[in-house]
Amino acid sequence: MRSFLARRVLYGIIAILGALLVIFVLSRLSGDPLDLYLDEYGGALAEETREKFRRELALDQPVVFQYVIWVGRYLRGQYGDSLIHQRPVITVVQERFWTSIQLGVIAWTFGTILGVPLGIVSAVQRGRLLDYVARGIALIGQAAPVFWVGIMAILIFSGELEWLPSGTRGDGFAVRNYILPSIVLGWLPAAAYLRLTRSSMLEVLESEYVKFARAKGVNYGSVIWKHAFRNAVIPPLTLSGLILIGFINGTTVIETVFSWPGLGRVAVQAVQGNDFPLISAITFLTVVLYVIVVLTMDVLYAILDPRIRYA
Amino acid sequence: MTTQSQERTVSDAAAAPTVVGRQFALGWIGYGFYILRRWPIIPALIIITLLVCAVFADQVAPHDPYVNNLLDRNTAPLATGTSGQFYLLGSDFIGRDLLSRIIHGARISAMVVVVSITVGVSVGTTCGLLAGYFGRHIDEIIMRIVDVWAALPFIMLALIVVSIFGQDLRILIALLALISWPGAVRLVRAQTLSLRESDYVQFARVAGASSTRILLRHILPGVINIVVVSATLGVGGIILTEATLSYLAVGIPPPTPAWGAMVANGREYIGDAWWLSAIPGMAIFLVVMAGNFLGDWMRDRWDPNLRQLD
Repeated sequence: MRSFLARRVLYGIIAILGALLVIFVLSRLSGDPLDLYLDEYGGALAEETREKFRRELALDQPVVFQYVIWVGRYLRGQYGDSLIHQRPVITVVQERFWTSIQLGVIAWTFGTILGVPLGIVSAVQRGRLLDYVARGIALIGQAAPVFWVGIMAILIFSGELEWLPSGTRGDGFAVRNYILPSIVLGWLPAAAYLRLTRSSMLEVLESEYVKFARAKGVNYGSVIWKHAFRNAVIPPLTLSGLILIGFINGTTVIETVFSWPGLGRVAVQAVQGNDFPLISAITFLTVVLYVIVVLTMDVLYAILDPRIRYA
Repeated sequence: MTTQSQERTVSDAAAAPTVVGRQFALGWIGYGFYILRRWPIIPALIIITLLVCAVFADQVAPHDPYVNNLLDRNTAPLATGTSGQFYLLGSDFIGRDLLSRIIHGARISAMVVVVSITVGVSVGTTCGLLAGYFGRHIDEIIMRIVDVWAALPFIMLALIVVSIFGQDLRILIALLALISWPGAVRLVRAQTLSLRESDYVQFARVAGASSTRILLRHILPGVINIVVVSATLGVGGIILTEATLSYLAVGIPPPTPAWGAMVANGREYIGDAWWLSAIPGMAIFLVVMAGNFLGDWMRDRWDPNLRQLD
């Protein structure tokens, strides 16, 4: 188990370094980083200031060293200043991070609570009305573009019916502000969980041990929950990692649609403003988050399914 | 056995709606539902329509998708504009025909999907086979690259790439091809790992078959159905991603109609002209749904264990 964990952690670190490399290469491809900085009058930097910055940012070193120095700075927690916000990147990210996380967690909860049980019901009731209803919900969730569902939800529920606000979280925590964005964001995960749970349950329900348990006369409910579901839950569980990365992409879009003051919206603004310190920090954060979640999933997977060896 | 298959051919051709001697509750209506459930006719029609629109956009579209008519701006669907022109699906905020723009947008979607899926899935399958079969160093290298790629937030990356290289169709296609790649690698690798240990592959190896032969003749047929099903199911995802990128204004550059960009542009006029966002979004929805249905249908047919027909 320990070597398995060590290996996974190593993989995670490699993934983070690789992702940082991609961002580094992209930032260098966009031209001389110093062109992005402006002096206090909003003009291009004077030559001596450029020199000073060049030394400070280690731009006079070979590219490989630049990458190493940059990664070293990141590991020591020096993320630099945001160019468009004119503040340390850390404070900008801290401000927006939790609003995104709140939205993501609520949407994920919604998706799981709706998706997994409906998937089981759908598999057990295969071919009946409930199965069709559940699959219909999944169908819309998987086929409709998130931003479109968001706009239509705004059109119907805040435009025509005026039930819910169209976005903007506001200062305090008001449940009604979260309803539309989290349902729209959570629908796709719900659909994915539903479909995967359903197909995985169907597979398990066909298996010999479920047939045997039923033949033995075990109560059907306990066959479903104890024999079938425990084995069927693994594929949906591994999906969670993908769902998280989906959220990172999804929040970018949803926050744009609902004018949500989260990290995704800041990221879009950062890219538009060529704010590479901010872009890199946000990417770094999402990559680290992703790696942690995938690691957790792998460990859970190994604990839940004894057939998987810690190799 | 012979009588049954004869009976089937006869009854399929015959006027009476019976299949293998089965009577349908509502006669022809029941038979229609049976056929629609058995064959993906509606999804196939949607995909064929998309392809026809993509290939013959200039001939099919009733108007020029680029010509604007400010007199007719924001004309409702099924209405005649101030200039006396009729718009089946309405006109947009500068008076361009929405239907024509959707038809031309189909061309972009179809091309992007076909090219990027083909490239992404073939590269992914090859890598997955190699990683799963040979293991060791090859597996390590491929899987670490996949890890890095999967860890990167895709939309962010696309935004950055486009901000550096500008909006361009080739870049868009390359980006989208990179999406379907890691999924295919993981799927194929996992399946290859289990097939590699199966008896028939072991026997083939004992019989002296080369690695190439085992991979192509014994393992590939075992993974190809998953690949095709996941590629078909991936069509929807690619269209959605393309739409998302063009919604965020990093897809195809502006005057060219793209569905996602049309939804985005319509958002500003949502109070006055709901159709500007609703209709292109509906087009995306229909095509993605058709792709998903076809994928499901293929899986049902190619994986008898999970057959959901009837």
